[in-house]
Amino acid sequence: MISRSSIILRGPLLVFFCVIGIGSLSGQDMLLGSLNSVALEAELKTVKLYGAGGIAGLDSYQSGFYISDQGHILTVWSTVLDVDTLIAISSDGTRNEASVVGIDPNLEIAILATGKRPSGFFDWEQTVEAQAGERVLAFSNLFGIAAGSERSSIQQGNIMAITDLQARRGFIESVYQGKVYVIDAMTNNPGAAGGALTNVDGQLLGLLGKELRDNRANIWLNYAIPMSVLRVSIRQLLSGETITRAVDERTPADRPCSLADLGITLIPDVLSKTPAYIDLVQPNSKADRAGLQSDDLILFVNTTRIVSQASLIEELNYIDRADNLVLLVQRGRELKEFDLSGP
Amino acid sequence: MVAMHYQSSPWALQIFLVAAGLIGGLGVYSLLPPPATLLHAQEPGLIELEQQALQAAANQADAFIVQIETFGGLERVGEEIIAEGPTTGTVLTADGWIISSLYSFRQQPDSILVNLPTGRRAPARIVSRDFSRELALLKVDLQENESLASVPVYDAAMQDATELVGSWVVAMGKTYSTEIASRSIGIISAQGRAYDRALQTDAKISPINYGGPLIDVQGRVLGILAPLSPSTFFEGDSSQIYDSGIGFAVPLADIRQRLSRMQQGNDIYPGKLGLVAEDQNELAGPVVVAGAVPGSPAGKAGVRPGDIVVEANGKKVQLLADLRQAMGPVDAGEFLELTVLRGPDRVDMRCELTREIPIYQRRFLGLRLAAAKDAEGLVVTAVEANSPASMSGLRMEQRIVACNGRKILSAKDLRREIAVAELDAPLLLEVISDDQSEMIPIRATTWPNELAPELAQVDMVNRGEAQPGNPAAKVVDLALGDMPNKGFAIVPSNIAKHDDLGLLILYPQPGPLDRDRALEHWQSFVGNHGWIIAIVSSSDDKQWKLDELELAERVLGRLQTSYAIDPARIVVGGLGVGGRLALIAGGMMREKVAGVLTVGTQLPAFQVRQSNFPLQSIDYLLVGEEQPLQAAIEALRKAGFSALALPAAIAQPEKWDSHPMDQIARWLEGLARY
Repeated sequence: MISRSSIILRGPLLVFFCVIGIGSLSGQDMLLGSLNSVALEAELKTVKLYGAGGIAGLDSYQSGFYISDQGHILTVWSTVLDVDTLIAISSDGTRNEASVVGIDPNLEIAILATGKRPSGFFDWEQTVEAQAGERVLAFSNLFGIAAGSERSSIQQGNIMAITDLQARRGFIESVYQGKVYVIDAMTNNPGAAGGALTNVDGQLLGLLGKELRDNRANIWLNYAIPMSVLRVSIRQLLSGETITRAVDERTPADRPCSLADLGITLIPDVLSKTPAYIDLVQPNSKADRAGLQSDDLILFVNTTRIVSQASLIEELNYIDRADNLVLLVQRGRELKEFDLSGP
Repeated sequence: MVAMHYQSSPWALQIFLVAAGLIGGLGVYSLLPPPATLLHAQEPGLIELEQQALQAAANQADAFIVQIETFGGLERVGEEIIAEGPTTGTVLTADGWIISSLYSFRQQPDSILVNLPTGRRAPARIVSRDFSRELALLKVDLQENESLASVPVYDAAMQDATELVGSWVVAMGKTYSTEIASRSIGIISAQGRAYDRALQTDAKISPINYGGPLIDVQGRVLGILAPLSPSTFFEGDSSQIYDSGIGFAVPLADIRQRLSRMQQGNDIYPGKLGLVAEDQNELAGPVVVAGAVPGSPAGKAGVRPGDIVVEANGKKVQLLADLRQAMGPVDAGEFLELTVLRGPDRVDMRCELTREIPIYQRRFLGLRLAAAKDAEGLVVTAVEANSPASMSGLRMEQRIVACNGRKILSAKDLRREIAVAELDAPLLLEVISDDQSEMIPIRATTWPNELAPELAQVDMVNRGEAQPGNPAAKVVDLALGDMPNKGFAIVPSNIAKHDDLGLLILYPQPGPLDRDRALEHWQSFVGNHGWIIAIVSSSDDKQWKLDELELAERVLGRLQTSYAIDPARIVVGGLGVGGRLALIAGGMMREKVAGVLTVGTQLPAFQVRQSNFPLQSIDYLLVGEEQPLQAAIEALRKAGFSALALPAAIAQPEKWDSHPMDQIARWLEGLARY
């Protein structure tokens, strides 16, 4: 309920951003510190995409941008693309039909082709990396506000953080779990996915992602996937290769560790998030030999944070009895590490 | 020629511009003529230089920002599911004192770990909390010879930047990383916000950086980020205003000032005064005192009815909002210097504000009154059995003209006297019957937690009975301005028959609502008792949204322009999940609302954040299965409110037939009792 309201609050902002973004070329672009010329040039490389959807609250439009002089478009893979032919309308008003050339189901990106030479395209092979704190521009058709031949919208913001979605397994429900640029402006709105993120010089930094909720902080995440992550995939897709869905590498261990084997009994699991307090340590067990005691609170298994008894039991499933197993526990006001590796 | 001039010394100009940008905020550069040469790619432009300056400031701050992880604790607080992610703290001293946002510890974690910039994880404990500023002070135990990078202590000149509005700032937090803090850039939007406790910024402030610092372009820590929403009533409605361009930071100077007290383990609470103003509207002025909550600091300091507050802690008070602004930064245990006008005299008083004032309960006499016709005062239309009124000997049709020596010209005058009545000293009523005046002492009790009895009343307006075949009520459309919601109101057909009307604003279940059925259900109550039932519908068929809380206020404002509404009979109600909106909206409008009604609303994990207060009392009626409502009833009563559970099997709240209408009607009518 809370986060939905935040989307609603975003509403009035977008009009403001559009007005800033699309000023006139006359005189003002020479103004010191203006992003006008950079913005207009990059803007011409973006497209508004119209496809399937429009039912059950799904969007029937999204954003994309040209990445070759043959009319290849990079965008996100979504239900909008579930049609034979999409309509791609450039910011100069050119209307082209586009079809899907290839998709990467792991990165959730797609490449489309119009077969027509665009008036401009981003150099996807240019290796520019953004820094936290850097000012950026986002180009997209957020909320589908631009219709027909209208130009799409430009927003400015800053890279708030560069973070790894995978670093905190389970916090973010997304197929893609790698590195992202987190942006401090409301860039990831309906219709914005597939848009371009550039630096203030107009160089391509990343692809605006789908709307995602950040469960770490209970807020919606504004982010872009860095081009450095996408480059290999784009090259493969442009050369006609097929990319298949990679399975999650992490599989349960053949001979998983268990609390019983370690000689640990936890306090009764009565809450949905009962903390992993040790109730009893079996004499002469692995845990006992390592020095664990009752009332120790288990906080980490190797590098994985343990938020509850359930998460401890699940994590142990992935650890083979032969693997390294280090527990970080809190005992009173002290933190202690115990090595339970080996047989 | 102009261009040539710039060409001759581009660097000098750039340096000047950057300095101007840094010192004065960015408004400066747009005033200057366009120096074309500065756009050359080889030379960094203003945007880059500005970014470099902010980046350099942020890089320095990374060292004294820490990531905090919590383990265990509650899964939800109120309605909100607590996020599990790491949060942020700011290191105040090298020996391990860390300030953070209370928000990070709402779940009362079993364990707190701090990821120090050195790479070490250290356990931490909460030493004290500042409930006025939503901050928590933590201490980590350091190892021998270990010392932390901390917020620099500035010299007086740097500390004392009085004008900050418009300055560039960076809001930083370590949710995403233990090393590099996130950077959200904006400007200072205002100072002295949230009742003079916070800086306001348009940088993106959210749980990502609560507890982190707000720094300026020189790397100076201006404040600590915290979710200080202007007012909250129920736990969990902290008005989630992040993402909307409003964020708050508690000034560092205010934190430092309280640090030694907090280091000794003393929690800090907002100071309470217990002064009751005649008009509870924030924008009402002058601030005329109606009384004081018995036993409160204002009561002890000797504030009297009729006093006009003109100054508080050296600040001029013209409106009630001025008094609140002056009290905002005053903690419990600190003093508020109050100056009042008493007749021709200026009287100074010193009030030691307290953490709690005695819980107030609404006062009760057991009377029903109506405005007298062709005479001043209020006429007794009914006396409840076994009430203070019946024991005092008051009788029907007597006319009350004064109370405690002050004239009673309107219902409002008498309600004000009753609201602040002491329980152990009687009110002295001047009563006229048969042209004879007599003084009747009457000792108020607390408002009963039971349904008002049905009483035969003197019919002052001669409403008679509704004519058969002539409908007692009709449906009118409600215009809600720019809000997308639809609404309608059931109003009496013959308004002239009634005095001021009662108003029940209802939030039903989300989705369409049948007008004819609603009319059928309400029309006899509306026609007989003189009420308007206003029903709004959600803009989304599946759910209510937070911003629809505003609807009740809209509807009230709208109807007040067309009808005479009785302020003692304004109720916000809700059916099913709509009841939750009614509870919050009612709390937000507490100086205007007399009652809150929920029907078939489930209220798990219900907590009340504010206490009852004279002239802002709300009566609660919760209709539904009794057992699950008990906790909510107890929480409300503990905060001094009158609260009643009305047992009823409500399987589908939108089915009117299942509502115990007779009892609900008695409760609604009973709200206007004295």
